[in-house]
This record gives sequence, C-alpha cells and structure tokens, in this order.
Amino acid sequence: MTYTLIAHTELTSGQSSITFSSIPQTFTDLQLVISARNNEGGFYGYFEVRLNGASSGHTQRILRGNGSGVVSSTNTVIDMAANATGTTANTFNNGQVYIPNYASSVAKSMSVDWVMEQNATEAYQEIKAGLYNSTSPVTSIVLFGFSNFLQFTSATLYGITAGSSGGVVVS
Amino acid sequence: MSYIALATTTLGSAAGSVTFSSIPTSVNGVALRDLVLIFDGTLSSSSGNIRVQFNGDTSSSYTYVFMLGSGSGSGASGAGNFDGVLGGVVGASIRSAQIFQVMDYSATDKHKTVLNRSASQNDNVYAIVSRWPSNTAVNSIRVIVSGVNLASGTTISLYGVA
Repeated sequence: MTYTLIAHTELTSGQSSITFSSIPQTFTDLQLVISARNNEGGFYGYFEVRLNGASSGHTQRILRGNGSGVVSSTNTVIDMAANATGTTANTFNNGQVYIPNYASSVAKSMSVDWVMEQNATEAYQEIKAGLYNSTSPVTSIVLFGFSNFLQFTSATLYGITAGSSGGVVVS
Repeated sequence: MSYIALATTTLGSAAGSVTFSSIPTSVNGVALRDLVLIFDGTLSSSSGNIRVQFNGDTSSSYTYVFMLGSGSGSGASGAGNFDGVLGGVVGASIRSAQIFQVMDYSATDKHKTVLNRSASQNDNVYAIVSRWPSNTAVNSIRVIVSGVNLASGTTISLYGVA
C-alpha cells in the first residue's frame, strides 16, 4: 500500500506533548497531520515539531500571513501555532509536515504548512522550509508544547511508499 | 482517496534531467485523477529553479504566479511565456524538498494547473501555481534545472491519486 496509516491519536484530556515513537523505517516519506488547540490565554500558542525528540538541530524559513500583512523570518526550531483559548470556541489549527526520505543518512528537508483560523480578523497561516540537520534516520517525532494541548487535539502519522506500477518508464 | 506509487528514482550519478514517461490514466482498473511528484535533492553545482515540462513541451507557453519568503523579506511575482511549470530553487548544499500536484492531469477538456510547495531552507520558501495551456492528458513529465545537473543521491518519486 502506498499511503499507510502508521498511528493516530486524539487526546481525551489535556497533555503537554504528543510523541510518535518507534517509527518503522520501511517507508519512503512521512506525512504528519495535526489538528491542535491549547490552553494558552491569547490567540495562539506555539508548539515545536522535534524530530527524534531533539531540542536542537532544527531550522526553518517562514512566510506568514496574519489577515492584515505578510512577514518572513527564520528560526532555529520547527514550530506551529495552535488555536488558544482566546479564539473562537471549538476551533482547532490545521497543520501538516511532509518529510521526504526520513530514514536516510542525510540531513532532512521538509515542507511545513499550518493555518490557525477563527471568527475574527486576526488569523494566521504559514508556509515553511524546514531542516533537521542530522544524518540520523527519523525514528520518533515529538510535538512539544509549552502549554497543554487540549482535549480533542489530534495528530496522525502516515507513511508513503515509493514504487513502480502502471508501466511508467523513468529515464 | 487512493495513493498509487507509479515510479521512483534515486540518481546514482549526476544527470541533466529525469523523465517519467508512459504515464497511465488508470492502474489496475482504478482511474487516476491527479499526479503528485516529490523531489528531494540537490544540484551538482550552483543553484536554479526546477522546471517541470509535460509531454515534451519545451515551448515558452507555461504561466506561473508565486509568493516567497526569504527569511528577511517576502515577495510575489508572475509571468507568462515560461518554458515549464515553475518549481522552487534547488542548491548544491542543502536538500530541497518540493511537492508538485498536477490537478486533473488526464483531463482532455481543460488546461493543467500545478501547485508547488518548495522547501529550501538555505534559500526561500515558495508557494507556486503554474498552468500548462493544453487540453492534452499528461503522459510524460520531465524534471530539469536549466544548465545544471541534478546531483547524485537526488530522489524523485511519482504518485497517482485516485
């Protein structure tokens, strides 16, 4: 199967982090899909996406829109923002991380997108170029929150397997 | 939605281009709707934007519009009369992860729209949309960077979406 569900979790109560561990090394790429809300008091609360649980070795280049303008920046983490308690009730962020060749022995480039919507002018969306500058295969992913993720936050990890079918010729 | 792996290659040596040909419109009786091409790699030297060309069409008939973030600024632009679907910049040091989505690739009643997300951490982050002005079904895809070789170790994979 080309697109395989590896693991899914939906929180039944608040917790500070979500961890996918013992990730099989049998796929080609990984895709992580997130729907998050946390208990920060304002509009949003950041959380980090840490490959192999590492607190260093990540960098990102960002393009962000906030409903009234656009900015670009860099950072030495890979992060997303979850809807916080100051946003419209029952509204969660929507984010995804795509990691090609996650099991390889080269540094891992990745594509990251997230949006944080609400029934107000202030909302955010970002596209990012991420890098995990490690030659180690990715065997775990930690969503590290600085405040608790709330109940019903969910995260799903998929494995994508490259292969051949249909008679396509490569030259 | 079904995701079907069509072809993949990891370059054992530098190459000027990679072409996927004989792309079917169905696999094992399952009709395919979209194509997804994943690029993960570098160039042998220098840097440049990826171009994706359909069905051997190298004419300057493709159009695109993009937005980018450099880390210190942002930009947007567009152009007509380009010689391929536009992808983000690839360099020689840090791998670029790029996703191309070709919508309704097998349709014969519409031009082909392509969405690209490019992640080059040492260059820019891009979101690009391109158009190939042809009602012909896509049956081949050529990946190229003008004047520069794709480096050994570069991986390109093609998937069909049902």
